[in-house]
Amino acid sequence: MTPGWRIPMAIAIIAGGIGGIWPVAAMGEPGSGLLAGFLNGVTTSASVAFIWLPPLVAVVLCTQRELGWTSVRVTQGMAFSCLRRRWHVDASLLVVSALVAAGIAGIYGFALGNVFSPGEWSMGTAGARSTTEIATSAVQVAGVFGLTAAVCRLLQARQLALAVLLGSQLVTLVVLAILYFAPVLRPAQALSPWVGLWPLRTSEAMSPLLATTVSRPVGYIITAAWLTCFALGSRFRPDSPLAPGR
Amino acid sequence: MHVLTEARMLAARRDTRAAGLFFLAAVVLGGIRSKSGAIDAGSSVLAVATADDRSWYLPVLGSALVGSLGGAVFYERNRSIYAWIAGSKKSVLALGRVPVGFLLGAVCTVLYWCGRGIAAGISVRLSHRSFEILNDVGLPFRPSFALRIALLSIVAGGFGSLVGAAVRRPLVSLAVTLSLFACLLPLMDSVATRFPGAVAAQSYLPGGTFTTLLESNSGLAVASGLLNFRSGRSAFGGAALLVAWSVAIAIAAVGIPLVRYPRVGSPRRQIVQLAIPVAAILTVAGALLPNIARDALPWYLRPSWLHAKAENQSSPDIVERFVQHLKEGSDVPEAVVPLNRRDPFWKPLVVGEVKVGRQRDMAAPERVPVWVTIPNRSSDLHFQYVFTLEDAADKWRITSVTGAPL
Repeated sequence: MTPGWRIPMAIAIIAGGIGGIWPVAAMGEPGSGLLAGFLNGVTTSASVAFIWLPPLVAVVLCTQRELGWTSVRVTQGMAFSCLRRRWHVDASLLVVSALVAAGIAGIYGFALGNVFSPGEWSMGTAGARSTTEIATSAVQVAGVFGLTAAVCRLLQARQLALAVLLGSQLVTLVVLAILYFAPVLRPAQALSPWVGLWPLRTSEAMSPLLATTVSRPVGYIITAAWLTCFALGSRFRPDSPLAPGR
Repeated sequence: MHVLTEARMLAARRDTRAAGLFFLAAVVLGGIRSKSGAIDAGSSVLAVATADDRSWYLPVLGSALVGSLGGAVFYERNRSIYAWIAGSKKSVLALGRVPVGFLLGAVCTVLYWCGRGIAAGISVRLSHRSFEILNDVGLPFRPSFALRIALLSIVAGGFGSLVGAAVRRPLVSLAVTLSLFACLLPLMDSVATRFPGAVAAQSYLPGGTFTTLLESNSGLAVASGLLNFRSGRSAFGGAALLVAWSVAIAIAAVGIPLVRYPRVGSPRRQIVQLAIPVAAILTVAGALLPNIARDALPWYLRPSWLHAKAENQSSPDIVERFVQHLKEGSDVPEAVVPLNRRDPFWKPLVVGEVKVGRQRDMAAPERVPVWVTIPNRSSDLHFQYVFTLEDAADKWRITSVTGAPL
């Protein structure tokens, strides 16, 4: 494993553990099931995928080229397109591994929650998140993965891709923080690729602060449009197995 | 290396110069305004430049970031290892970054005030008033607060350099410093409104200790209202916490080896190395999180409210049933006192289209707004009622109702 994966993986797992602790310990649920701990761990970790997923996936998609391993493999006869497909498969498997690890941490959290705040526990899905929330978090993971892969392919440099991805998240946060006081900024939300994946919406959240006014279906369309733009842009950019020059 | 020489080397870097220009541009652009209380009250450049516009966090944050860059750059290309081999102690190398950080903090403060001055001059020009420079009539300028900002910016620069010396990678040290000082950003106002527990949590971070020192009402001058974080801790407490953070980071900066030999273990070993600290963090979270969360959660996330909602016994549900019984003419068990149905006060609720406020319309669980619309040929009539309830024996009951036409 190349360096740079530990911290995002740790964030994913800790988020999963807190997802397992949360229902009984914080929300005062009378009890939760073992399977619910796993599901809550996976769902909570997936809900915050926009924090840990980009650095984790960027390690797989960009590092081999930067370290020069890709050049060696291409000279050995491997087609670059095959290498790129393999990177995407490896990145997907890494994300699934992170979610499974988060689910296991959720089970640990379920056990901790029942130790520190004893309640009725079972083996089933009592206390699990709703099906809608699980489906939304699955879409979240897929969307964040798609955006990360598209930006990494377009920019072909790990640090620059992370700066763009995380920087755009920060800008989105700032715009939404100001939005309540400056409604004139509403159209600016369409400029953010994260608007479809944003966890807070004014139609669902208690407070309009830091929430987007864009509805979920429209948000998904905007994010898909951005994804398409990045994908088309990477098509026009010449692909090279060599590391970008400094 | 001499402090001034080190600072000159840092200033010669392209990224440092770009950051300085960006910072100056941000201060100037953020400070330009053609209409505000500052311009209207007094037109002098001095008055506008020293007005409170909540940007006084910028030199503290900027100093911390520049200081961390200065601290990390020293370790970036093995200069630290060469100095160590030549005989310098690791503690001297690490703590030697602090004076550089102080100097960078001072430079950042000077840049900030230059930017404020430029922005003030442009603002006065844009307001088409007469261009005066030094007239201080009309605005309260507190030299003590400006002095505190300057001193704390210099301290922040030194603290940032310690962080940079501990992290030793420029980009990562910038990210770490930004996260430690994120509570200085005005963005945190919005976060604190949504998560009230963030106010207490941020007071333990280094940035929070600076807000405590700036905002505390005891020990130093009266707080300026820079940020709305009123920590219960005194200025002495904030200073003690800052010293504790500084000592901890200095220990890390000195203790972390200069030369790291890459040890890439087997995947199983790497997973175990990751699992142990994560399990420790989760165990601590499981022990502490319940108590903190139950006190810090807003009312609409408290377990009692969620149970009531799940069982359709929350205050909006009670009000809905009340209105339904009122319309049907049946008994109204939800009210504390008997109801006089003939009172014209209730007529809009009986005949009109009723919309009971939901959770997101409520400022508190015991007050439920209700809007009534009575269609009319010429123009619809609108009324608003506010139901006040009390939570007795885990059951909401209506105690009073006020209403008025809109």
